[in-house]
Amino acid sequence: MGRSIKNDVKCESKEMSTLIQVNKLNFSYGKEEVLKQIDFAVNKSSFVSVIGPNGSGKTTLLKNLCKLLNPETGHIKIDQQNLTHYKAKPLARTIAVVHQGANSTFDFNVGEVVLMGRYPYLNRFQSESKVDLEIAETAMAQTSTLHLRDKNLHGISGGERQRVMIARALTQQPDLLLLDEPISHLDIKHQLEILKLCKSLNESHGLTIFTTLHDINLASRFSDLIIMMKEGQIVKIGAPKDVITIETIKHVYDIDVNIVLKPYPMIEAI
Amino acid sequence: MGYGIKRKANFIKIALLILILLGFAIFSVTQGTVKIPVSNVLSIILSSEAEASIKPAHIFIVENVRLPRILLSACVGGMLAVIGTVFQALFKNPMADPYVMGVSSGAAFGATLGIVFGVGVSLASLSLVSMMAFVGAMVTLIVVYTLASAGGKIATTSILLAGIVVNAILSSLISFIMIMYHNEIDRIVTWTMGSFNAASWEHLKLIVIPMVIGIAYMISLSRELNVLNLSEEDAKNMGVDVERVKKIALVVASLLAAFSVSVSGIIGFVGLIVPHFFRMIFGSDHRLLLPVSFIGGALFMLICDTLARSILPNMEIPVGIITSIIGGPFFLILLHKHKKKMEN
Repeated sequence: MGRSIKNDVKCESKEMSTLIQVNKLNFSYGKEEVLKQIDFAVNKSSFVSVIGPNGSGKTTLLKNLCKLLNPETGHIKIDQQNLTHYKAKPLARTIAVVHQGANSTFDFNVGEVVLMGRYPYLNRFQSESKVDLEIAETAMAQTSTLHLRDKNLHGISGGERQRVMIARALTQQPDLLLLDEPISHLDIKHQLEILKLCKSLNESHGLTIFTTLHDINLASRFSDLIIMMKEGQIVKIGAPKDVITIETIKHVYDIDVNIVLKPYPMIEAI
Repeated sequence: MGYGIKRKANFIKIALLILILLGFAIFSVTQGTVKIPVSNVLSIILSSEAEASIKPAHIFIVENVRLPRILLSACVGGMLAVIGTVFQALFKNPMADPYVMGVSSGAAFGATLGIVFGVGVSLASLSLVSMMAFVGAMVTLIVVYTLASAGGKIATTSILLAGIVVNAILSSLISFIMIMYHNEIDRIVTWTMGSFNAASWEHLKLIVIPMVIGIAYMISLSRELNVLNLSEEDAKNMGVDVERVKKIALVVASLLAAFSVSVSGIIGFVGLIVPHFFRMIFGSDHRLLLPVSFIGGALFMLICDTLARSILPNMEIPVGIITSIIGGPFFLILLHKHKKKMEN
């Protein structure tokens, strides 16, 4: 499949391996400044988590990255190309997004929803080919949702639906998968299941993962890079051991914690 | 699941529905105050020269009364069902019907003015009432669209609200006119209940081209409508130009609604219920749902109109009454069965 070939060819120079480049990004809803002077870069094949309290701008940042919101000033480059230059379909072939609380209004079964991910590859009068079906099936196999394909999207559990949405996103064959609070409504078992799935896609396929998370310990356990935000600004960005410290947690969340290394840092509230 | 097989099965379903529609259409031509045998009907329709054995009156009834009426009711039924399906998908609202943008009350207001102030005037064989209805529908459409769009974007809730308010204002104006001109109440009420009793070939000529173009365009939007069913954000991130699709689909669908209303009056229920009916049977994939809704809507309207003109001797019932009386209970039974199925 095209996907694996694309990722086997690792780029030599460091500059070429940058997938997301954000420079001096500012965004406001009306007069309220939500993102202030955001600067960061993400390498290809990283697992990135954005953490921070409610209202710190995590989701707004994510929506800027997938062009649902447009920055007021500053710019975002995806794969060396300015985000504003992407047309809708090519963008959907590069970035796939799993939003919060995905569902459908009318009855669609899981197989149909996953196959919708082929939309950016098809022109108006084209119907899905065998190849498209195989890609959708592979995505369902990777996310363990093959057995659900004939079930109604309404009739499956929250964890299952989240996996189906990831399968749909994979069917877009993106370089970058954005997830907005993918585990916030799930129990601990399904939380782990979703993050492990993302990790395995990240490790085996080199898919870059960029997710917002509330659970600091899970973010620490799964991520290569953590972006910690407070009031629309990046407080700290780096490897978990550099970002998750007693001081930053105190500064951002205003709580006192102990840090246990196992080997990734875990916080214990005091 | 083999999609080749699925496509073939879809094709068979559509073909079967078309056959049923054709069969019923022919049956419908034979029905009415004057019963005409099937063999006569077929030979009148199929051969250009009238056979000597057939009464001239029968030929006249078939060619100038029943055929245009049957074709018109089928076209309007099909259009309303497709418009309803599209609006429900665009608004992600199962309550949406072809008249959400106020097209019906706009048309009714125009028709009311036509009835009250311009009796008997006609242009190019189309009655003034029809034309006024069309103009009223178009003006309302433009007003609601303008009110609801801001900054190049259209919020679907704004459209629904603007539509409801414009509806309310116009309905009150119509009531006011009815009180002022109470001699015309009968005609106004009958018009708003919808009927095909004035159907003519001119009406058909008026709607057939917009219908073909509009429906074909809607069907070409099927995949976008499918993706929109998740959410507008999802659709955007999957590569759909959401604002463009919404704008064009809203305008095209409302135009079709305006055409339907101007030739038939306001016929409720078809555009609301037929889409749900076929969604329960065939699923929500618009590539199948839209063509099936068109044929099904046509069939449903044709059945209702045949009943409307033949159920009572010497009197015609407005077809809008039949659509709800017949369709309502039928739909409720199906809904109940569907819920049971979903629970298991």
